[in-house]
Order: sequence, then structure tokens, then C-alpha cells
Amino acid sequence: MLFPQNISKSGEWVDRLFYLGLILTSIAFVLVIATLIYFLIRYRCQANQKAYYTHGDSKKAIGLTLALAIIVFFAIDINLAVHDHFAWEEIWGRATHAKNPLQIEVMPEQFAWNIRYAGNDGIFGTADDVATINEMHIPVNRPINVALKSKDVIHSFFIPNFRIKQDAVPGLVTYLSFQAVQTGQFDIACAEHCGLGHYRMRGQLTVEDEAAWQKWLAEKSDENTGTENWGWQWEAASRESN
Amino acid sequence: MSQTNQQKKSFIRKYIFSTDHKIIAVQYLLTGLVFLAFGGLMVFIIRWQLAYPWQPIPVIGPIMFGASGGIVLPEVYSMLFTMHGGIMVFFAVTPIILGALGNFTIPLEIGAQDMAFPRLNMLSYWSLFLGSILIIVSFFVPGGAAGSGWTIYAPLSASLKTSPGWGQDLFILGLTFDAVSILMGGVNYIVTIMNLRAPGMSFGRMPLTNWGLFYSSVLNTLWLPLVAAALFMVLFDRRLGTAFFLAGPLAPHEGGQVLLYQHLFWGFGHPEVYILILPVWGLVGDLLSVFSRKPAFGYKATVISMGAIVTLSGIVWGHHMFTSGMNPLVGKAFMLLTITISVPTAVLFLNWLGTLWRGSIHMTAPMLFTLGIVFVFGIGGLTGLFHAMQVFDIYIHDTYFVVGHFHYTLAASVLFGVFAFVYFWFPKIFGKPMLEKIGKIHFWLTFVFLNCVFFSMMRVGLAGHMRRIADPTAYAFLKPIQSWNVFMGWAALFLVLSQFLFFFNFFYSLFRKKKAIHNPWNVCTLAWTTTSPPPVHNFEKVPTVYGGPHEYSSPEAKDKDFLPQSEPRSGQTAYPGKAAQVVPTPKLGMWVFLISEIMLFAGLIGSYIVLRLGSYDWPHPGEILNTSLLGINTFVLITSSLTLVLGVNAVQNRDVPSLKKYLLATIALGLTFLVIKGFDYSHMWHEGFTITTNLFGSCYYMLTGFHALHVFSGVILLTYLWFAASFKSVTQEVLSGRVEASGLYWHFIDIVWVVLFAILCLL
Repeated sequence: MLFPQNISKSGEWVDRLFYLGLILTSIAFVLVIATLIYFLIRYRCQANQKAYYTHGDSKKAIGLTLALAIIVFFAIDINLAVHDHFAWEEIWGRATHAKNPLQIEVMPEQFAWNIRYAGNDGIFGTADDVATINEMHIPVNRPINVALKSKDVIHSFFIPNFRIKQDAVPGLVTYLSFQAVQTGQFDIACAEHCGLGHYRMRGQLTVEDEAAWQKWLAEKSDENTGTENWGWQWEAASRESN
Repeated sequence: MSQTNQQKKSFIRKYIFSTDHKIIAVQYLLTGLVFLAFGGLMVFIIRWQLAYPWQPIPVIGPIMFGASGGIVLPEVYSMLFTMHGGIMVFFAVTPIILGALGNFTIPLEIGAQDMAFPRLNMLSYWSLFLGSILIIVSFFVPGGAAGSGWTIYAPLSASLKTSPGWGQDLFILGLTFDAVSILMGGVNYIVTIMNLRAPGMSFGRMPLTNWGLFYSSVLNTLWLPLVAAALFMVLFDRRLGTAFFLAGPLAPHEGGQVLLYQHLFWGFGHPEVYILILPVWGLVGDLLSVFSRKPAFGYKATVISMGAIVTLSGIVWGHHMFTSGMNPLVGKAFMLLTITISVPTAVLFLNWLGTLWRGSIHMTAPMLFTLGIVFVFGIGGLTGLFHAMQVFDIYIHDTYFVVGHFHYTLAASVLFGVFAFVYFWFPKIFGKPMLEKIGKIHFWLTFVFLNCVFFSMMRVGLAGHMRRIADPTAYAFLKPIQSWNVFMGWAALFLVLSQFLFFFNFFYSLFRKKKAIHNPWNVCTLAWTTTSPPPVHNFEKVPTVYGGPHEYSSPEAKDKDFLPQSEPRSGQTAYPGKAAQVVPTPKLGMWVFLISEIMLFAGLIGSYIVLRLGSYDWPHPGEILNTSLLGINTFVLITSSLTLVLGVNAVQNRDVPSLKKYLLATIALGLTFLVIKGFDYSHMWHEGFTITTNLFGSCYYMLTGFHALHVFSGVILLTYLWFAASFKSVTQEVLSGRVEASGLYWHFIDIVWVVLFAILCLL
């Protein structure tokens, strides 16, 4: 209802975390506001009614304060932290142990996503690499590992339907993992302000079955999109010159 | 005496270059309100663009964006959200909450005649004024104002290729002047609260607002210099060709660290939230007590909780960087620390509700805004928990969910704080009452429309709506929620329009004849025992304090329902004498200032260490630097510390001729240092080792350059003291205090040099 359609294997963990937080914070908020409104009505100023003179520093009040602190810490804080930990293990822990993941390299620049596949040999930087712009195809039900590095400013690789996001930073490689459970076409968005064209830095993600994906990759390979559009070479070149 | 002197003063001395904290508070208030209106009008253009992308803006569009047919172009959109954020945070609410609320209430509420350093106070306002001029000018330079977001993230902001034009530089310079203003204010607030409290005004008897302001000033002193260091380095990257924060093809050479900027920025940026909200929390505590006619519930617990938050706020910045590529384990630590803030915050809410409990609640306009703060801060605080959860934050980071969240905390809560402050303190500031009814209507309209906008922001954020995009309709997943953007557009229009009621109320009340009584709200604190508006030095006679700030419905009060702080209690004798000053005022001021300086150098030196440790190939310093020359300079500077110690000794022995002699010697040694430094620079520059040669060159010139600038200011300070020693008007005590304080500064410069010498040559 509140979120975009979830097509990620572990995306529901993110949604669940939200609903847990929503329940806990709603209880707290409703309690505070209901008490507030009750007090405002019950203790509104009336003739001949004097306020009760107390500094709220009695043993009872201190006990209440400590009890509240403990309840908040364990019922809300620790509760959320523990659930976050489980979700983390499920999403990221699973990713690091994924079998036969598909490696993709993404190098954003103002204002496009450069995407590279290793091709049939599974090794980057060889002649059969496939490079595309703003067009990412992935096979369904196969773990995907994306390595990100920006060419200019910071961009952020964001696919709302997967509930994931990772900044692409110049001079630093960052990683991201996900697995689609459904086929279809989805948006890739840039979440970090990267300049005038930030709003139109949109990529297209196509999730298809393994056969269709293989066919697409072969087509792209035949087109010989080549690696001339690819830019991680600048890095290799500058390393050599040093 | 001072009263008659003041009346003789010209208009300019009395109202423009005034050293009276109350006049300065009004200056801050008016400046803040102008920028509040300015930043507020931008809101409407931003929301209209999101509601109806690329459609001409009605009425104002053709006037403002005539060249594009009334349409907001993408570059204009970037400028708008950047300057909306920058102006609202640094030039609207900061001047009002810290500048106006702080300046007006601190001396009045603690029973002081003025700030500890009135002239510094005046300088502080004029520094802000200069900063705001630069901000306004930045809109009219070629290329327009800054467009890299109010967070000024590098490398977008740090390269001329990605942020061309002078707008970005003027924004940074404007912020620098604002930061200097805030730091000078911070020194004044801390020293005034520590040293100028009236007899009997213990820390435990201070109003909570003053506690909040004190805590804010501490946070400013500690963390503001960090962001100043980061912004200087951004400026260096832009204009001097360095690459502290640049990497990849944008960088002229290797080694820059992009994420370093974020660490420095959020090192300040997160405490900034608390810098603005702490005085507001204090105000809530005080006003709930006044209008419930009941002491603040759990005063001590509130003060301790606020202190706990001050401590935590400095160590949670990493939760802004969960998606930056930071180590997930470090992220978990930041998550736990962040989420713990909810405990002291819950205590604040308990105490606010406890204050209302069994009270006698008066629903005045300031009370409505105070209750409004409890509501909107409830939402703002609780939505913070979602951002603390690492996994969930990764999804909502940089979406409208976070925009909604920080608008609830920063915009809604602090803005309501601004209104509560103005409605409550207006009669005391101007001696005129405000219109209650219009104030109440203003509250309800603002409350409704503000929630319409900010709550909808969080709704679209959950749908994945990215922040800072000019056109949401381009994305398939955002199509279903576009109607929310339209709704927000109209709600924002009505929110902006509702504020005209406030401005009308403000100026109508200001210029009408009706006068306010001295204590219209029946408040216990000292400010309300004096006239409205207060006389130049606040009190006819320095008041003595006998009790707490919230003695409402006290059984001891006879004919009224409150017991003023300055009214003697039965069976209580006068408080013995003035509160002891642990450190004399000039010295304390210098210490607070030096803490800022230490943090500035900590930012710069820390960055150097991070850059150094992150680099693979680093030149050997011994082969580049002229170590013997640097050694001689170290000797010169240490000797100068020695001569100044002798000078301090002389002034303590009331031996002015010797003092002047030693001052001269110190000045000569300082100048020698600078001359050798200049020779060293020009020599290395000719050898080909410049600021752009490599990262080491950038660090070397930046660090030693900043240090040389400090030596130069020190020389000017000492030259001033040399002249002051000859003036008859400067008494022995004043001179002694100034020489000692300047001595601290000079020794500090020496220590910095020794540290720099060591780490530059050895690391």
C-alpha cells in the first residue's frame, strides 16, 4: 500500500521493519497526544481551581522517569535494533554467501548510468565485455552483485522496487546485492543530488528469465557496444602513470 | 547615570551600532524575520514546480523568471532548494533562536546588566549582517546562487567544473561570516551565564530556556569550527586548485577523500539540529509551566536529559552516511547510539505532560504554539527512529521521508519555537501587547497547513520519492503519488499565505499606541520584574534571587498565584554576596574561544592525518621541506612565548614600562617568524613545490597558512595592547586581564606550531 511493488527476495524485511516501527511509534505518539488532550480538557483553567503545587521531584516521579527510560530503551530501542540486525543478516549476510552471483559494474556520471557486464568469460576488462548506458538487464531469481564507482560527483544507485540504495563515490568502490523474484520493467533512480540533471538521471531495469537475458546479452555482445563508453579505464591508466 | 548618557547618544549609536543586548536582539530578530519571509516564499515556487512540473508559475512566474516564460529551469530549481535550506537554517531560525532569543533573555533572566562582552556582541551581529549581504548578492552574480544543496556536498560543490560561478563561493563565505557570528555569540552566552548571574541565581534556578541556550552555545563552540574547516577546504579545492575532496577525473592529482567532507560536515550537521532545538525545548519547559500555573515537572531530570542529548549528539553523525559506503559494523554502532537518544527525549515528554497534569491551563497564543511544539516534535522525534535503523534508512535515505522528518524537527518545531518566543516575549521586547485572537487564528492555520505539507512529504517518501528532483512525473513508481504533490503545492500556498497574519500582527502591534504592562503573563523570572521595555541596563538595582524560576501556585505566595524569584521567602535571609567567579571574565572568554580554535585546527589537522594515512605514495617531507628553517622558526616562536610570560609577570607587578618592552620583543619575534615563513614559502614556490603540486603541498600550505594567519592576528592583538598600555583610560586591572587573555592566545598559537612542525615533518 505505502511502498512501491516489492520484487526483491528480501525487500519484505525492509517493509516489515517499517511496520514494526510504525506500530511502536504510533503507540507512543497516541499515548502522548491522548494524555495531552485529556489534560488540556480536564485541567483547563476554571474559577476557584488552583493548580497543584509540585516540582515533580518526588521519589514516585523519579521512579516513573526511570521506568519510562527502561521501557523506552528495551521496548522500542533494543526491539528495533535487534530487528534491524536480523534484517541486515537476511539482506546483506545472505548476499555475501550467494552462490553463482552475476557481477555487474556500474559507473555513473553526470547524468547517466554506465553499466558493464563481464560477458561470457566472466572476467572484466576483456574484449567480450558488454557495456550499456542507462539500460540494465538482469535474470530473475539469480543473485546480483553490483560494484559502484562514480566518475565525477557522488551519485546514489536507487531501485525503489528492491528497497535498496548505495552511493557511488569517486575514488571508492562500493557494493550492493539484490535478487529479483519477479520479471518486469523498473526504474533506476539517482538519489543523491548530482547537479542540474539530477532529476532526469533515470535508468531502466529489465528483469527477465534466464533465457531471455542470455539472448539479450548475446545481442548486445554482437552489437559490439564495446567498452569505448566505459570509463573505469581512466583509473587503470592513471595508476600506471604513477 | 548610564540612562542619561544613553539618551544623548545619536540614533546611529543607539539603534544601529548599539552594544545594548536588547537592541542587538531586535536586530537579530528583524534580520531573521526578513530571511524567514524570503526563504518561505521560495517554498511556494519549489512546491509548485513539483505539483505542476515545467508549467509557468502563476502571477510571480513572469516577473521572476521572465526569460524562461515563467518556468522554473532545472538550474533555478537547484538554486531554490539549496538557498531555501541554507537561508532557513543559518539566516532565519539561527538568528532568531540563538541571536534574538539568546541575546534578549540571557542577561534579563539571570539578572545581568548586559552581556559579558557587549562590543563583541555588536560585532557578532554585524558579522551576520555581512554574511547575509553576501547571501543576497550571490543571487545576482553570473550563474546565480549556489546549487549544490545546503549540505554543500563535495565533490559537486568543490569543483568549478560541476559548480561554476561565484554563487557557491559567496554562499560559503556568507556561511563563514555567519559561523563567526555564532561563535562570538557563543563565547558571550557561555561567559555571561557562567560569570554574570545575579546573587542567588544558581545554575539550578535558571529558567530552562537559558539552560537550552547554554547547551547550544557549548555545541556551537565545539562543532561549528569543524564545518568551517571543511568549507575552507572546499573553497581551496574550488579556487586554489587543491584536491582535498576530489577524486577521479575531476581531481588534478590523486589522494583526495570524498567522504572526509561528509564526516566533517555531519560532525557539525547533526549537533546543529540540537543547537536549534535545545533552546526551543527549554522554552517549552518554561512556557508550559507559566501557562499551567505550575512548577516545571522534573526540572532536574529535564536539565540532565538535555545534557545527555548534548553528549550523544556529538557521536551520532554517522547515521547520515549509512548509504555512503561506510563499514556496516560502524553503522551498527551509530545506529545504537542514535536510537538511544529516544530515552532522554522520552523523559522530556514525560516532564512536559507532568507539568500540565493538575495544572490550571491557560490557552493563550504562545501556549498554543508551545503545545504545537509538543505535537510536531512528537512526530519529528519518533520518525527519527526510522532513520536510525540502518536497513530501513538505506531505503528512505535521500527521499522525502527524511525531508518530512527534518521539517518536523527543524522547520515545524523550531518555527513554532520562534512564534512562541515572539508571542510570549513581544510585550517585554517592545513594550506593546500583541493581538491574541489573531495569534490564535495564526496558530490554527499554520498548524493545519504545516501538517498537511510535512506529513504528505513522509507519505511520498515511503513511495520512494527522491529529494531534490525537479520533476517526479518522469518516474513510473512515482506516478501513483503525484496527486500528493499537487495537494502539497496548494497546502504550501495556504501555509505561506497564513504567515501574513503573523507579519500583520507583528507590525500592527509594534506601531499602535497601546502599552503592555510589565508582567502580562504573571511570570516568576527576573526579566518580568523590570519595566517593559526594560531600561538600558535592565534593572534599577541588581536583583537578588531567592528561589526557583517556576514558583507558580506556590503556597507561600500571598495575594497572587506566583512567587517572583526576587521576592524574599519567609524565614530566608538574603543570599550571601555574588556568585563566585571561578575564572575571571576575559580569561574565560579566551578559553571558550580557544576551544573553538582547537576544534578548527583539529578539523584541519585531522583531515591531514586522514588524507596522509589514506594515500599510497606520499613524498618524503625531509626532501621537500627546509627543516632547518622550520626548526629556527620553532625556536623563534618558543622564545616569543617566553618574552610574553615575562610581560604578563610585569603587568601583574604593575610594571608597565617592562610590559611594553616585553610586548615589543614578542611582536618583533612574531614578525621574525612571519618573515622567515614568507622566505620559506617563496623559496619552495620557486623550487616548484606549490599548493597544487600534490596533496602534501596542499596540506602544507593550508595548515601553515592558517597558522601564519593566526600569528599575524596575534601580532595585531599585541600591538593593540602595546598602545593600550599607554592609554590613561585603561585601568591596571583591565590591562592585566587583557594581557593575560592574549597570553593564552599566543601560547596556543605556539603549541599549534609545535604540533604542526612535528606532524608535517614526521608523519
